[in-house]
Amino acid sequence: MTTFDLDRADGIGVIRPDGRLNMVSAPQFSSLVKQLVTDGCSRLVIDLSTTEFIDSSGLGALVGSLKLVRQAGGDLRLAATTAQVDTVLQLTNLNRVLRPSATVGDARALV
Amino acid sequence: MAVTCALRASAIPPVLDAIQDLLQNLWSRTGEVRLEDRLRFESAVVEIAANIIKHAQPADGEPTVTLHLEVECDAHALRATFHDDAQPACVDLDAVVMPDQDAEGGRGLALATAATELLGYERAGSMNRWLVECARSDRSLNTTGSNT
Repeated sequence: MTTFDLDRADGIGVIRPDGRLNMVSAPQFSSLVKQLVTDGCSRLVIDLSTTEFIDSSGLGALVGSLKLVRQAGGDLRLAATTAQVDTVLQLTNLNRVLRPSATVGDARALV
Repeated sequence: MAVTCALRASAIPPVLDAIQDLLQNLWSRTGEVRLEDRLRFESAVVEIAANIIKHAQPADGEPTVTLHLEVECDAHALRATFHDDAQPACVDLDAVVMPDQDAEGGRGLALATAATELLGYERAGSMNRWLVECARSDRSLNTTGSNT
């Protein structure tokens, strides 16, 4: 079962999906992002260091979240992507819009 | 020599975890398969499974859709064959294109196509059959035959 760790230090939300981000868990991820934006937190980092697998549903949730935070005046960055995530980002050309940072610290500095 | 694993299950979301466990079992029984090949294959297999779960309609009189998946690894390729007992799938793989970057859906079959050397669908009797094949990037290094 996928869990979502959340850290909201310094006005930046850092979400760490632990497990698989797929058609089962992607709706939970989207709900969490929507709640954060509603609460006024629209600067987000998605720490993918423990996300062992992402599918097209997970990618769709990331794209939807990026659009949502930008509409709220914020931004979203990916961090610490695994080889699996990098592979699907490249295959779908989403590496051009969901440009990953090497570390959470690097991503925090960009949102 | 080919190594195969298989499962039969209802086409509901929890089967995705079972499929990924099946692939882990496959990798544990094969020799070294390059990570890039395993990742492409796993993505394609999961996308086809998710497509069946999302879109397959049970045949008349049946409460659910049942799928059967067989995965195979030999010296040349990784292959998956799905059979399901749903109504015929409305799909045209020649028309599949990668959606725009801001699209929130519609990437499943496009991702599966991009990840594989062969992706096929056909109606076989009362069953739908999906074929997935990824060539092994190290196949020139392998000396074992695939006629098993």
